[in-house]
Amino acid sequence: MTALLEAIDVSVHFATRAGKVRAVEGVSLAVAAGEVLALVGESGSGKSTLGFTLAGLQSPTSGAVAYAGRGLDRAGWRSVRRDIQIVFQDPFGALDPRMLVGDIIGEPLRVQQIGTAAERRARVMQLLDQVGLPAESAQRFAHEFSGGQRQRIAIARALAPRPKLIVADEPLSALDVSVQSQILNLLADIRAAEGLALLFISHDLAVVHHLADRVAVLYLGHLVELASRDELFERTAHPYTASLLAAVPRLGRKRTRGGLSGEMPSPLAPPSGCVFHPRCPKAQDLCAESAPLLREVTSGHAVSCHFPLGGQG
Amino acid sequence: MLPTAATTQTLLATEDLRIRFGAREVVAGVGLELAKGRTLGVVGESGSGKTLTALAMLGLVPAPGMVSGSMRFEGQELLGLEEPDWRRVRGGRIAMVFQEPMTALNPTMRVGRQIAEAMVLHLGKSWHEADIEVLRLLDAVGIADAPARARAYPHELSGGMRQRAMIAAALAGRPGLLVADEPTTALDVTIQAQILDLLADLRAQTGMAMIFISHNLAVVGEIADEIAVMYAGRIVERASAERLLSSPRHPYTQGLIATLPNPEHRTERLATIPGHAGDRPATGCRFAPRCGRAEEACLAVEPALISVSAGHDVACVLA
Repeated sequence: MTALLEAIDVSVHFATRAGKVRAVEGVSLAVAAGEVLALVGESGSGKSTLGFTLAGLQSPTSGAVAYAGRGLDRAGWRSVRRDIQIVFQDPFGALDPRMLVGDIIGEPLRVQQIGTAAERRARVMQLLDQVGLPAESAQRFAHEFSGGQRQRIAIARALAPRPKLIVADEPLSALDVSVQSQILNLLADIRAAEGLALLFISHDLAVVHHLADRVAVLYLGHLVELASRDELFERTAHPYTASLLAAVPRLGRKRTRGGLSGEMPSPLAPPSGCVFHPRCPKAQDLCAESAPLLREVTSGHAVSCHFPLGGQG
Repeated sequence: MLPTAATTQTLLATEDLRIRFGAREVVAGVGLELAKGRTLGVVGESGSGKTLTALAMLGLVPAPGMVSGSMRFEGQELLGLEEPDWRRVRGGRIAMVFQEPMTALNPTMRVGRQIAEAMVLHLGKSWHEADIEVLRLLDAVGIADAPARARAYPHELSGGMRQRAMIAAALAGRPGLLVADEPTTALDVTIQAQILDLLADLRAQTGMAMIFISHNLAVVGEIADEIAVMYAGRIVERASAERLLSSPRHPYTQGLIATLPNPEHRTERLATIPGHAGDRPATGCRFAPRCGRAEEACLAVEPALISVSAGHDVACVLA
């Protein structure tokens, strides 16, 4: 596996009046060329902060982000900007209502001075077709479109400079259920056609299971489990991942009662030892005392737990 | 098996409920029936009219919305009630829990006071009596350290705690019916599971009926006895939860179920429903432009909700 985009021991802290918020703590992971890596977690897990850091929207407090093996400083980011594009959760807030859709999609090309004006127009038409919108959409405003269509516009814009990787932050959450599967299929098509990598940030495990090649689970800023999709869902090793999977309502399956109690603690004052220990059904004395290190239980399956499930100690 | 009229008592019944904003009819003839102690799930997407239907049950349809039809609760017609009469019903016999507790709770009022208010207004308790009852209610909804939480302001609580506090406030007036509009949508899945368990427990303890509104079929399937699916202002299918999820008859319901990714049967491509809910024909079935099975007959007249088997109603000429 060649790493395309890498987080190397990344921590992101925010200074607030109430104290230091430890949003991301010492996370290392890599997205390979062409793969879909999902970042999964609940609110406060740090998944969006980590995603934004990997997209260059947020500087790490410590650690580094590397692209194609090179650490990125400010100048480095400028040179890789067109290779890494972003799709946001809210297609209503992310598109300028005063711009024509054609200009919105072509903007990254204009800013990066890619191609001539005629070439850019041709590329916009090609992109509209690729995301399933009629050509005349270019001459309309974003507010004339439904949520799903706006997300198609946002995806077309992200694709415009032919990126190697797209960071998608909850791209389905603001959409109606009947439209989500359209966008999921579109993302899968694009990925197959363009061979691009996707860092897919989501709280929806069913969607993640459908789309992701590998899954990284975050809790309170820590990477607690990282594995291929099938490994993670079939041989879950971290008790938090198991609780998360059990909590998801699913058609035709009765959820067992007595799931996780309590709530995620404040990142202002994370618990001692393993950050999950106060809510963990398997916690023992050791868990409150020492923080487990992320280690491989089987090839490619890493977990940060003193007592992983399935006896994979 | 659905309960029959002989074994249960109707708590709420709407007939031909319509809500109109100017020329736009947003709810177009909804008939619902709910027996005491039962839970009805209402499923729909944005624009389905599910939230306005719920607001009508509390006399909260915003101006200039016009509500017509009939809505009887405990034998009393609610439509046409004046605001002072609504205030006796709302928060008393019918209570509501909203999606976003931060906007539904008063940010300038301590949580305990807001819960006590319903008891003073609807049960004629003194503030002192109500304050004591608040602690019991907070405890019942799983809020630890109730005395401290009662003194807190809403912004000092987490999202999950706020939703618990709002449920406590809704229960304070001892409602016969709790209307919950997307009560878990803003919450994380582990917290959602806790709130679903809590609502199921409270329903069992108090015997209250519940209308649970959500865009999420799987969530509704966990808590509802019966499910009504709404599309573009109308009910398109209605059945027991088990039947609706296992043998859906309306193409929209079938589509909603088929588009969900299923971790047990992963496929490379998902089924889709083309277009979006804004696509509406001038006449006939509102779902026809998005329906893979639509025929000419579908655009002739709007299909009525008719029974296809006992307790299972579908509004589709092809069903």
